Amino acid sequence: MAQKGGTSEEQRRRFEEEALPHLDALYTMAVRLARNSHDASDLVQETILRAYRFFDRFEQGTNCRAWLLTILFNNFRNGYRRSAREQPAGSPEEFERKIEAESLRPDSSNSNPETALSESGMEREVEAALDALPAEFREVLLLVDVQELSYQEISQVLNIPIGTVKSRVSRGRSMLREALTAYAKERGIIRS
Amino acid sequence: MDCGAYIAEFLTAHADGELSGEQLRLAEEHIRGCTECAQRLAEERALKAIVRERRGVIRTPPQVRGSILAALDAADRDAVAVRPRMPGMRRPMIRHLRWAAPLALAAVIAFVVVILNHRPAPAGEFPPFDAAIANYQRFQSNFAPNVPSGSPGEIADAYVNHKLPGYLWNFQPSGYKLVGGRLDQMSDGRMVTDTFYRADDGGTILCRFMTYQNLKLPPRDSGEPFGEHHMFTYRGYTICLSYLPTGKYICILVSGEPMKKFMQDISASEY
Ligand SMILES: [Zn+2]
Repeated sequence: MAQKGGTSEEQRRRFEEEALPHLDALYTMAVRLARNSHDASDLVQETILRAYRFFDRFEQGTNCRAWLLTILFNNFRNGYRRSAREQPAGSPEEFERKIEAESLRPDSSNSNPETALSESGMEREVEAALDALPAEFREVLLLVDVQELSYQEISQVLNIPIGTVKSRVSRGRSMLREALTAYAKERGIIRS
Repeated sequence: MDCGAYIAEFLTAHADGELSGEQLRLAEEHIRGCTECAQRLAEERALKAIVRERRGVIRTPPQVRGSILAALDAADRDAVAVRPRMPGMRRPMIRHLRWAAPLALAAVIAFVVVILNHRPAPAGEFPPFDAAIANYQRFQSNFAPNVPSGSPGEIADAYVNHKLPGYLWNFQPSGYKLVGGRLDQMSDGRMVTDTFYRADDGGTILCRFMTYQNLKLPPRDSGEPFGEHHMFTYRGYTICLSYLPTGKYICILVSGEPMKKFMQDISASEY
């Protein structure tokens, strides 16, 4: 199974060293796709198990996170069935608040006041603008800005041409920009 | 290049770091001479920051992490045991459920600790820290020494025989007992030692030694300085990074304790 002829124990260790560090990244993406934490957990677990089974197909030296996200998106699109369970959080806003507590916000303590978001009505506007983006635009923005993948890697993850990635990023950001213009002017991000 | 061409063709890719060579040169040349487009580029980057800030990393809940590790163990067992079970017999689920619970509990505590003891994480990702944490998590339920571990001296000898530091921490003053040691080879070929400590209250510490050439580590002067050590809160764990005076080796300590408490343990102990 292991491409380097290792024992299964070595395979496991290699998997833990190379793939598991991306668990939080996968969970983050899964929560955004599934929009509830139960289904997100199932999706991540399925993804990890599949990746483990096919780990010999992972090309050493390439971006492991991109490879894992490819599996996650495939699982989400093909195998994933929205469960019959009730969604634990009703509205998108409630859902955001619920996972807010779980979020890592490494910049929040010393972030630039220009881009820092206050606990205000404006914050809700930002949330609304992000939620209003159609899925295909939201997905590429998450892949480029949160997952920090290159256009080439996103093209692999979503199985779309690289030109489409670029135009979706561009379009998605313009939509976001328009929606946030009023907000941004007020905060000084956009001067007019 | 005019502004229309810059915004239509270059702006997005420029903000995303997707330009190189001649294209990058042209884009930067335009930005230097055009304050309007420079402003647009700044806005594009601000939008990226907003997405990152509002849709940033969500920590995997400890119980999800625990059940994924348990599922991997189950997959390993299925791969090893080629159907020795009787027909119709169900998978031995009980075994991994039994340890998944304490594992999840330890992770819950580590998680709560982070919230109570919130410190900025080091910017970026550090695979050596990730690898140490992966082993630390795994050893909670299953630590199997692979070097003679009857006494600290035996462990130190085994490490030294593989040209690795023979230092061992003595955490006994803080209630930790030495469980044992492992020597393993990492995927890039370098050898690493893992020494594992456990306290009666269930707390654990992992100590790793390895060479640090070509490893992606935080900048030398980052983290919370603590004597010659550098303390970090990273993915919910407390990490103590030390560069050994001998040169090419580092020591990475991983603990689920809050940073302050772990610093007390380290002060009370010695190599
Ligand atoms: Zn211009």
